[in-house]
Amino acid sequence: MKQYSQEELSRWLSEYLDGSLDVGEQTMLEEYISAHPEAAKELRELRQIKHLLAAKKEVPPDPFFWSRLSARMDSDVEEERNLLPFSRKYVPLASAMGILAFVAIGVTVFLQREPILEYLSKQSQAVKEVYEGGILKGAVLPLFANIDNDKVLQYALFGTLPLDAKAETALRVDEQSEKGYHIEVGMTADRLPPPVTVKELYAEVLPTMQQRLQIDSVLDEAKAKIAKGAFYSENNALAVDPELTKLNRVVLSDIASVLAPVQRQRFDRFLNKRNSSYALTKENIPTPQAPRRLRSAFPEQPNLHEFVVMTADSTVVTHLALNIDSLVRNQGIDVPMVASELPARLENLMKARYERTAVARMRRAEPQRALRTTGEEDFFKVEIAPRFFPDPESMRVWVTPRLKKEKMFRFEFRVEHRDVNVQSEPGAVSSVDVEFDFRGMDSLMRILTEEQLKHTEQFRRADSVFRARTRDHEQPGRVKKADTTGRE
Amino acid sequence: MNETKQKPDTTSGMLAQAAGGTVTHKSDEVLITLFQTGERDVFRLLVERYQERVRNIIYSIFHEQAIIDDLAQEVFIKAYEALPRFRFESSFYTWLYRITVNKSRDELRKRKVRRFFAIQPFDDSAEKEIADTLVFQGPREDAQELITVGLKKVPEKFRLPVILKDIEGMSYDEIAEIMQCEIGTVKSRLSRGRAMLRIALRPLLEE
Repeated sequence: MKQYSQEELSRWLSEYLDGSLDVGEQTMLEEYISAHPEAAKELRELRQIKHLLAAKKEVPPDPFFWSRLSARMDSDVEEERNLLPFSRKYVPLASAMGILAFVAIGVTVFLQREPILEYLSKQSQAVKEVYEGGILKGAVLPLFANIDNDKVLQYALFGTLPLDAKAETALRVDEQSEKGYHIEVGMTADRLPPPVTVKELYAEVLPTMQQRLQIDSVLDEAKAKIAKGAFYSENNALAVDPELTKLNRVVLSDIASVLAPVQRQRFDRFLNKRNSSYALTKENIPTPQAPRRLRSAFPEQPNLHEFVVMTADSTVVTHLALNIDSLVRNQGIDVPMVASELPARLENLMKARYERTAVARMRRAEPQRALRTTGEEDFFKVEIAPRFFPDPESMRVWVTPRLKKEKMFRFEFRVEHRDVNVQSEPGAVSSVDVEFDFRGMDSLMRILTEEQLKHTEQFRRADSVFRARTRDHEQPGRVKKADTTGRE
Repeated sequence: MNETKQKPDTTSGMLAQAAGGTVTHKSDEVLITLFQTGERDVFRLLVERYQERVRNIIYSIFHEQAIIDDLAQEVFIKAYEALPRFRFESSFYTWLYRITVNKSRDELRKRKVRRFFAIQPFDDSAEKEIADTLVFQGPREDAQELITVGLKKVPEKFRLPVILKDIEGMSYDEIAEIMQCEIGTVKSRLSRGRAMLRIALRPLLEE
């Protein structure tokens, strides 16, 4: 008979209870049990336990289990979706890993700060170049970062701003509603507008203290707009915000909007006396109000702003990713290109553009485009079609371009001629005084041509009348050849 | 004759159409296939089919009414998430029991950690003595309660095979699959668990 240790016996009895022993094992165990009462007792007790376990009371059923489960699933799914990309049980692990990663990154960044800064700088430059389409390269110099309110007023009146400290070059903008807008860069020579100051404006218009504050705020806002409106880059590209072309009109309208009717008349006189490019319109000016037009006319935009960029080779309208505020703030700092170099650089730019334009002209006529460029050696002009920057309704302003006073010439002469009227005594001398104004040789030639055509027509008519009357005085059937050389 | 197919107004009707019979009588495999093809509503049938068994296993392990529903819900939520990846390599209920066992083990582990950090005010042996006295001096009709307390005295590693075998009536193979161990290990743990339970219940068995 096989002998079992206690552990073996328990194992065999357990399997015997489950009926998993084969026939041989079962027979062997049964023989052992019959010979060992302790083993029989153990088997009995195990059977009793198995019976008790099988009859174990079950938990009462829960009829609302599904409802509760369903509700929890909905809320859990929502939470998991909204908050975590992984199961909640990993939250502590994820938190610990996050802290470790944060510390590790911090240490790495600190240790590797120089290469990282260099890398970031390169990346930043690369991104900048990509955004700017390779147009503006190198250092970028804001041209009007330090202008004062007098200059802003001068710009509002004449649309001209000196580009350099010595005022050898200037930026001129103009808005012509039919033709669009133009931006002109050129040598000033004798074209510099007369200086004008805010003090003079106040002396003539006599605004109240509150109106002065309002006008100052208009000029300050315009100053900020101008400061962000023109840049020159190290690779000799000039970027100008096309909105500058409208700014002068809006500034003058804003100033007019805060004035009382009598003050407006003075303001118009002020504009007229200084031969400003604009005059106040006499109608549709509302009662004085706070000037809010500047901000609504030019809503603030993020760093990506639209500019007209002029290089020696091209003129394009493009969005530039310039951090304008930063550039204006840091003007003069870390900028290798200093403002004193600007006149020479602009001169080169103008010459280069002129040479390129001349070559283009020789090839073929420039097709009509949204941007049209013209120029000479000492200036260039970019004309922007109106459809390029359509005016919203809010851009309606209360000033209008003043007709420019051009030099006029007077042409006076007397024409004497002998009458050829057959009814009167021939040979009597009479004269006609002719006079007209003209602006230049072109207009003179045009006027003379028109006069010639008019007199030729008069002669033909007189000639036919003369012939008819001559025929009436002569005998019928005798036709005398008309004198066609009767011109005096 | 109107040949337009009417949209079934109930999930059961729809499933019956898909499976060609009353869906409530379909096997687990059919229901799972339907679930995996997008009929997520059949999950309710699976829950209703197994919710009591899952709740009973949990009760057998913990003997606490309070935890049954929470843990059973977690089991079914886990099953719902994992069912799309079910590959029919085992029966559904074996798979579901494995989830139940794993969830239960997680809970036991958490409790161990909590106990480890908890302040122990008294000597464990004194508590044990009080429990023993209460258990084994009760009336005969409380045998079920005594079994419950006896089971609690058996370590979880040996208790689980006893529960799965003697209460749930599972085979060695199934228990091995649920516990993810060899059949020999199951047999060994089962015999040791029964032996421990026999010692724990000796006063009751001697009556």
